[in-house]
Amino acid sequence: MKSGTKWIIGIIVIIVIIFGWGIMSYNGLVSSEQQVDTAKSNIDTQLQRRSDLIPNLVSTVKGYAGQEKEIFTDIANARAQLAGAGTVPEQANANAALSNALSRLLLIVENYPELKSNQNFQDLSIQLEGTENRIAIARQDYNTAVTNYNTKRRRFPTNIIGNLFGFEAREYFEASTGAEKVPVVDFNY
Amino acid sequence: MKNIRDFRRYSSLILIVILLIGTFSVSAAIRYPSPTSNKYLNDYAGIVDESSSKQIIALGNELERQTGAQAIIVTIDSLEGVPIEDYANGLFRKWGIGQKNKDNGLLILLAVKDKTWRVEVGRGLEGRLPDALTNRVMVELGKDHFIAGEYGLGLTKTYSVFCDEIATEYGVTLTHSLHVRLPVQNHTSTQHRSSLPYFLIIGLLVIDLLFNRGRLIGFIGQMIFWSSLSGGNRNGRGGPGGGGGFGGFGGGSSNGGGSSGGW
Repeated sequence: MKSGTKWIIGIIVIIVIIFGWGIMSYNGLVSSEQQVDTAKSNIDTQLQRRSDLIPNLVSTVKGYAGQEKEIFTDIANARAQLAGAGTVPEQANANAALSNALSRLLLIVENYPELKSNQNFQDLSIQLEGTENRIAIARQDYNTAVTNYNTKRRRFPTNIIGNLFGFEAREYFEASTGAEKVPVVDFNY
Repeated sequence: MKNIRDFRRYSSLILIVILLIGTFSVSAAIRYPSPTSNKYLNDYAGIVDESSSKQIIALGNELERQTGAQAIIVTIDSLEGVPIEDYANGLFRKWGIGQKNKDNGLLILLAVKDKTWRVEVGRGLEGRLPDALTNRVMVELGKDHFIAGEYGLGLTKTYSVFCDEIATEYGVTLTHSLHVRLPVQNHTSTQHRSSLPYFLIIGLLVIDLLFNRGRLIGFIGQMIFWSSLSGGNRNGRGGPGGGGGFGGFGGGSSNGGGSSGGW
């Protein structure tokens, strides 16, 4: 065999190997990113589920404790904030604010024994509790998926492929400190 | 000369082993027990009496044979400070309770010294067993017995109700069930399982028979035949530590459905 042919074959083999590796890395990144997206949509589902529970809960509580106006406003604001959240950190903050408002609501309920023994309220608060637990787990899963994806994206040599095809780093679902305070929604701007 | 080479070879091997051990041991945060050979009842706390134990295992086994769903009870002494929700979900996923992709598992976890317990429901069963229902069953059929120290009775009753609910979901009845009824109002039972996939499968098989001389059916039949032959050797495959005579777990998962309570 002529040495020229040998070289050509060698180069072809190397190109094939590089391409094969590139495709594998790319697909690996895509599937990790897909896992992040799936985990994210699980969080969204659970957040939505909790948001949907709230009007029912609030109207039940209002029937017994209508004078506690402040807490209802807070819940409404936090819920609106969650609905308007665009990015993951915004969502995490809004979620923390809503959790905080809801836990204060459940504290207030302690002062109304009749409300506490109301079957409808009991069912709602159990569903709420269950949803909080689901959110916690969905959040854990999401953050694990993000860690996995971000590590893969930054690690050499996969990062070459990552940069080439514009795989962006993802953000963790974490509330910033002080986020549990409900901001006052200003409707006048 | 040869000795030195040997030494090098072995030392690198040892190094690799050490590195491997290092990477594996970091990942275990909570230490979960391995499943026992009773599979459906893992009584690490030793609080379930003999007759309840037999009843639970018979019922769990019947449920799995009829529906494929796995309902598992685990009792432990103490959670050692771990929130029961985290422990239950972690254990559920570690063992893989329920069938993979169907997620039709259920876990009753009871920590005696913490006086707390949780029913964790796989996603596939959440429609049948919403949190409000599991909570009601826990409060009305379990709690009082636990206060009285009758753990076996409380667990058997709640377990029986959950198995019945799962069986109803799959359209079967269980002979080993206690047929306990909830004392208070019934939950609305909605059955919205679509029957479309069955029609699709049957339709495909018919087309196969008509136009393909039943080759597909023959192939599937052979697969079932061969897998049933080799199936006997696979006991305990899914669960670490083996599952005795009942086979392993199915790799199911849970998203945190269910409810927790105390007594």
